Amino acid sequence: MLDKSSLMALKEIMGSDFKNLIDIFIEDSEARIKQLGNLLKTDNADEIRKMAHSIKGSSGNLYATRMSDFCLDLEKQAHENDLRNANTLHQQIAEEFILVKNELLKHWY
Amino acid sequence: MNSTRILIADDSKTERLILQSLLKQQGYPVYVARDGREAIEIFKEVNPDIVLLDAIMPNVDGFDAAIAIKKLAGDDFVPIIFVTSLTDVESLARCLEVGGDDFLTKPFNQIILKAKIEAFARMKKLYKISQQQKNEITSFNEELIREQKLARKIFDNIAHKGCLQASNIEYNLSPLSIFNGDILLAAEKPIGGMHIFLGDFTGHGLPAAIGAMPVSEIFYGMTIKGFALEEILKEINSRLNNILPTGVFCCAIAADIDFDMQHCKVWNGGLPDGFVVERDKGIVEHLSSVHLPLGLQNNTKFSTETSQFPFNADMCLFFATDGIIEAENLSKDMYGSLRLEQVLNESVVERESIVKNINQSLLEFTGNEAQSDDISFVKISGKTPDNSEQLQETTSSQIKPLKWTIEYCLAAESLRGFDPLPLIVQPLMEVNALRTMRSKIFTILSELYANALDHGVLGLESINKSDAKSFKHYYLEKEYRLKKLKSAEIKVKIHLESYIDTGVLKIIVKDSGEGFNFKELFIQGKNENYHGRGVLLLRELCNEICYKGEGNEVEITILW
Repeated sequence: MLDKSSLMALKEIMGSDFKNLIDIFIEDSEARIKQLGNLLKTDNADEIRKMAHSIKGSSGNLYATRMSDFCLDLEKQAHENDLRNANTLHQQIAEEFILVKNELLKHWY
Repeated sequence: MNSTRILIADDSKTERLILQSLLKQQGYPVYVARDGREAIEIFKEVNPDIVLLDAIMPNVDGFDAAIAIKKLAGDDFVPIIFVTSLTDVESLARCLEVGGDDFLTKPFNQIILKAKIEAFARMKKLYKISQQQKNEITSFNEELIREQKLARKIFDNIAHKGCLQASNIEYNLSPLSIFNGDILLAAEKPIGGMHIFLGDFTGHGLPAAIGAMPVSEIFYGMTIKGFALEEILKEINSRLNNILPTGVFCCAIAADIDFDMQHCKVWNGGLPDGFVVERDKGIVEHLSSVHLPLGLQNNTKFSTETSQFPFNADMCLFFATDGIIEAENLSKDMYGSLRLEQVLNESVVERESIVKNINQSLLEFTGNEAQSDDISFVKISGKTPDNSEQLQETTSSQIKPLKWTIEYCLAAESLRGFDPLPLIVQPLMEVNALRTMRSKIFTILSELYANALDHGVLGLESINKSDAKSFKHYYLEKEYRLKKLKSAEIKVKIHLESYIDTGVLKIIVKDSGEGFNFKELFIQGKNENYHGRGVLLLRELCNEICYKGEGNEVEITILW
């Protein structure tokens, strides 16, 4: 779920900003995952791709590798205009996010 | 606090925070933008040193922001680093295409980020320094050109009196030649005839031009006062020797042309051979350098010995600096003196075309028009110039009645090596009416003095001086007798009375020689030649001429 050694390195570098980073990540991801859900109703593949890309970026920054991988899959498929698995992937991203969030708040905050 | 200020543009909050945090810890002041549009606005406001751009952002993306920022930066170097998770080659290439200088791929490796920022900060500093130096060089260069223009103006003011426009002179000289170290001067002598000087200073630019100024000033100043070429060269050498730094000197060739006597003297120190070219014969004389350049030695070692030869209207002199011989073609061959001599030999029938022929031959050889700009040469024909404008100086001094007598008494020591004429003429030139007769008075005085010295004191027989052989013999003999001269004297007495617009000038020259039978001279009408005691010439120029004593005293009168 989390690449712990990389995240540890980041924590050391960020110092006191690290908690702030977790706050922002959680807040940001919750908002974006919700926005992604809304976008899925519009079938706008390009917007979906952009949103997946951006969630992939922020989850990648916190080394939430699985969450980031789901986003990458969605980004790729949206790029090819293939939205058949979009809902499933959104679901997986949202579920993975809950796990990441809990883990972060529990052990890293 | 680090002085390199960094602008970050990223639409992801987490990314911004991580970047900001990393950079702040390294001590960089950081500005943050949420998209490309904000990045451009902040850039305008704070003018950061380095910009980190996310590629994909809402509103204005990183690519368009990069283009806008590079445009705003203008000549300034603002490194743009793209921060991107894009990995396809096409996207990365696009980052560079729009003006990006590098890219960082996500997720960040803080070591690479740090290294890149530091590298660009260094590069930026170097760029700033080189930009400053470039600006300095540009302004130095502008200053130099301004100074050269100014120097050129001053130089023109000093040199404008020359007679390079005389009908017997043709030349090729770059308009900025003094900054190539080349200098060409020509002046009419008060006694008639002409001095020519072609010089080539070592070096370029202002140092060469500065050396040219005293040369021209001495050349014109002394020529108009009637000094001989040898005296002028000596003075130039001594002045240059004093003012020029070691390693800077002036290669020069100088000529003294006497159109009436059809005679010419040339001194060459360090320039390529000069040539005497005669109609239908081609080159008849090589005037090789036998002296060191001007300004190298002090005057005790300096020699003013000249080559002397007959020089008439069918002849011309050709002088050039080494530019012509050293002109190169595309394969780096030099034009050489053989080609030059060939042109001179072939051009003799129509001498007037020498300059044209040389320029044409040079152009054919080098194939490059610009080359001839740096080349200086001059052709002087032995034909008396027909546009000779008398050097009339405007005078502002008031016309006052004058009455005075001066007497010069020259002993053997002075007769031996000193030309007293400029000294004697000088007070006369303070008189307005006489100034306009400068040439006439100079001719009379030099004739009287030469007679007193050559025929009076030294007892030399008159000869035909246009015959080169006897001419040379005459001068060798004169030199010999001067050396032996022990007790002798020439007295020159000048009496002047000058009123508002009339006046009388009497010159009495008395020598310690044996005199001559002047009575016979007048009765028999002998010696009607110019080369006798110049009696006919003097008669023509003076209102009265009267020999006295044993013929060793002569008095002339000029009225106006």
